[in-house]
Amino acid sequence: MPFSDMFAASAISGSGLSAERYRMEVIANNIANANSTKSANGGPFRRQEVVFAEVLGGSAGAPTFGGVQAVDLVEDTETPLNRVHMPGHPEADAEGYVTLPNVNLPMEMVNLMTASRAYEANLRAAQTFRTLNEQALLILRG
Amino acid sequence: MAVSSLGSLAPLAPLTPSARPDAAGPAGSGFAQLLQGVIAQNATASSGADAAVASLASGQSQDLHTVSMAVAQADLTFRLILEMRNRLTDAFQEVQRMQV
Repeated sequence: MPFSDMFAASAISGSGLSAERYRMEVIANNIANANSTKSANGGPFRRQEVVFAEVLGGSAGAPTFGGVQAVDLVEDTETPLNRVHMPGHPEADAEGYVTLPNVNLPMEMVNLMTASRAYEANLRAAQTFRTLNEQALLILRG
Repeated sequence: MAVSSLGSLAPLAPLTPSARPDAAGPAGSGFAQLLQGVIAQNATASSGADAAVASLASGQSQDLHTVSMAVAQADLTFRLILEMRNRLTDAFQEVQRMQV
């Protein structure tokens, strides 16, 4: 039996850690760009959401678990953009309004806490797996 | 109140002897091969941990948990081999101390 099979649970928790870390990066990017009036696609920045997908291997009858993977990064086009009256701003329109990103800071903070707790949960799973292995090794001691 | 008698319990099935591990494998050096395989895999895990630590030190690493997990895996596999070696030497010394 290869050790990679023995440490499959560890690798699955690792994929969860990577995915949550990526989610935290995306949220940090949303927060950092909360006031960006220019973005890659021309208009003001739009908040982004990450899409996770389960990774499965093996056959249909006997699947092997591969953890989680971030498969997509989508822009939130549903939430309306904020319009603020700032006539002196270079991006202001004819009426003096500036279109600001649709980043809602309290919401991003809650998402950040969720991602952080999910990271901790994956970390705890990995630690528990390691503790179990160590206890199994104790069987060999006298 | 009637109590059902215990005599209706089926007797325990006799233990079936488990298949010997070397029954299907090649004759002779089965255990040596197993041990060599375990040691080779430990070397792989250990070199993986070395590479992870080197990538962390050189700033190429993407995240910390990959490094930690590679090191933890190498640590566990090494300790497994250490325990196996301890058991082997214990058995050898036990035989050596035997009165003839």
